Amino acid sequence: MSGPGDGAGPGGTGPGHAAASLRDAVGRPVMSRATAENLGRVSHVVIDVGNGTARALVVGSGKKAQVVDWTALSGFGPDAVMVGDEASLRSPAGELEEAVAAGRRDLVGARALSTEGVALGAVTDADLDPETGRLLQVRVGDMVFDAGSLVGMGSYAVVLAVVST
Amino acid sequence: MRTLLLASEVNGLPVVTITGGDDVAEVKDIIYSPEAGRLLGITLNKRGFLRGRMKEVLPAESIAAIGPDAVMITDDNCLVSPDQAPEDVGRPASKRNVIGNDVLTERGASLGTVTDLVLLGGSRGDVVGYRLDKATGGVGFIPLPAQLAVSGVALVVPDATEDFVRDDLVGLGAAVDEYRARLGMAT
Repeated sequence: MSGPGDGAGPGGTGPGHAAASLRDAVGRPVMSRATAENLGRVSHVVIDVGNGTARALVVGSGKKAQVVDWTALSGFGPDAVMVGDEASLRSPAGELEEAVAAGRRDLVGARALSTEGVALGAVTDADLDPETGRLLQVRVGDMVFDAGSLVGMGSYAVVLAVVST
Repeated sequence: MRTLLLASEVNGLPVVTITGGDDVAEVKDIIYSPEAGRLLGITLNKRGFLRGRMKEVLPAESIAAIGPDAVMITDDNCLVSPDQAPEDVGRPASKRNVIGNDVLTERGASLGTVTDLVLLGGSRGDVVGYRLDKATGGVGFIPLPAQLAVSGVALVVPDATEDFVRDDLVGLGAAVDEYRARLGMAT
């Protein structure tokens, strides 16, 4: 049996382990390691463009949306996101997190523009390192861009540094 | 393969910040210098709900790239009030437009009337050609030399231009370099 995320074996540490899909993360249950309670589902991912990482996850939606920092995750697995306990969750703080929690800053689905002003399509997925949250690649349809090309992300578009050939 | 755009298609494009990913304005009109063969800047409209003219302008020096889908700028500091902009951009002269001008070769043949400007995609507003209503009928595209004489009524282009009239933008894209190379050799 194989499926997304199956490549990440128990010994999977370091850069060799399988990348996780950002798109597939949405909807995944967030579980408390201490109580085995389901704390909600991942609704959005907070991207830090400057550092090229997924900085945090938004759990739940609407006024009840909460945020868990990537550094507070004990596991980002194919079937569940594990956190220590409910105290790992906090309220959205700051403009970016509030925009993400309100569904206004999703990387997946965003309009992608090149730095030359060419519309590339909508972002279909991004690969990230499940250990660190570091973005590895951004996918726009059949096109795959190194995460380093991601230079801006805002209310209108995601901007990718792409030089046309 | 270079991408060429018509200036008329740039009107209405969003102006998007590269670092912010926000659409901070949209193109109202371009300010063009026929002598320099490039844009001097862009006048702007507000985006979204509060549409209408925006006081700030975008000098060409602050444009990162003009593309078919957006005008890219670094951040919203690139938009400046007219008195902070170069004179030509802050208070553009009203009749500095080549649209409607007759294009004459040096030997005195009319190639047609200018109907649009052709911009180099990805540039800060380099104009590499004009779209014409040809004197012989139909639409044509001519490449521009680096410099040319402009009076406000007519443009005078080298005789060699006649050999480089093309039917579409793709043809023009291929013709620009060859045309400039030919002119370079001729002088």
